[in-house]
Amino acid sequence: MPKQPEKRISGGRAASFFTKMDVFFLILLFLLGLAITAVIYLPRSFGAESAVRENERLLEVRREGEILMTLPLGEDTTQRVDCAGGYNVFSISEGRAVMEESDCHDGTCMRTGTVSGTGETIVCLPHRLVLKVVQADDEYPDGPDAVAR
Amino acid sequence: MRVSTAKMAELSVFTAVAFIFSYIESLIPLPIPFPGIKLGLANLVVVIVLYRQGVAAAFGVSMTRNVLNALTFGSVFGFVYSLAGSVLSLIVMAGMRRQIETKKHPRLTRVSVSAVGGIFHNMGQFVVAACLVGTDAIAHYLPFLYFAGLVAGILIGIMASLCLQRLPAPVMHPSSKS
Repeated sequence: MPKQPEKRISGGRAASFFTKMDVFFLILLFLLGLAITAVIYLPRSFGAESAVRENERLLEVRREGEILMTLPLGEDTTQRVDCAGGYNVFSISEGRAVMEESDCHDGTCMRTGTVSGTGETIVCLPHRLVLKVVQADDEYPDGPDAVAR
Repeated sequence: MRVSTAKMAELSVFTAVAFIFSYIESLIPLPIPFPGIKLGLANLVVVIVLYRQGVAAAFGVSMTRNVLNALTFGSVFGFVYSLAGSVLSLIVMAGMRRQIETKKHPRLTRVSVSAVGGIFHNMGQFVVAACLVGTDAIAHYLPFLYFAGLVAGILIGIMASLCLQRLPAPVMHPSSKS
């Protein structure tokens, strides 16, 4: 059977489609990848670390998709929000947010309990009210999940 | 462009194989938490065609395969992504192959060509994604794509070399010899 001509044969083995130069080149590519990783991740991780320490988490309040207010989780407060179907009262204390009152028909928002971690939410679906804990420096509130597959 | 019947038949078979490879691959999800990372078996065919029949033929097979994917089991976004990746990687691989064959870097083999092709395949997809959602939002994903492309490219390169050694030489029509 005619074969493709193999131009160079290192070590005299038949299956030598791989040269030392390839290994060298691939290691170079690998190092280039490490460099790219470093360039992308190093400033980010340093920045993020200090941001987490310095900036508090925030509670983002959305009614029907629009941001009503953004409150720091560090300050205790109680807020009343009037919605299309009724009202909600939520409070922040000791860095945790909780839905205190709601005249919605299911009460799921009150049973959710307290939220404090980034990304945690309390949803009052009948009133289309969403309380979400976000990072103060969060550039991408939707997270990496927004990247297409 | 004049294409002999033998060449056309060969390219048709390769296109069909590439099409089937991408279909099979779309059926098997990889158990890794990163979207869009896969071996890209269809690119094995593209590399083989690139070495057997040249850039134009590889480009034709690659484009036909992409269009067939989009029309059957793919999506519009998938088409844009794979098109960008295919075109960019093919351009880079063809350029590298030419450099190697003109003896400027004669010690590099198809494995290196394919590795670079794999990286640029993913870089092309990254560029499209960056245009769609903004560079900042996905910059952290770049290293994953880079290394995935590198590994996939190396594997594809090794497989392509093995295949090229075993495949019979392309049938050349007397009039199409160049």
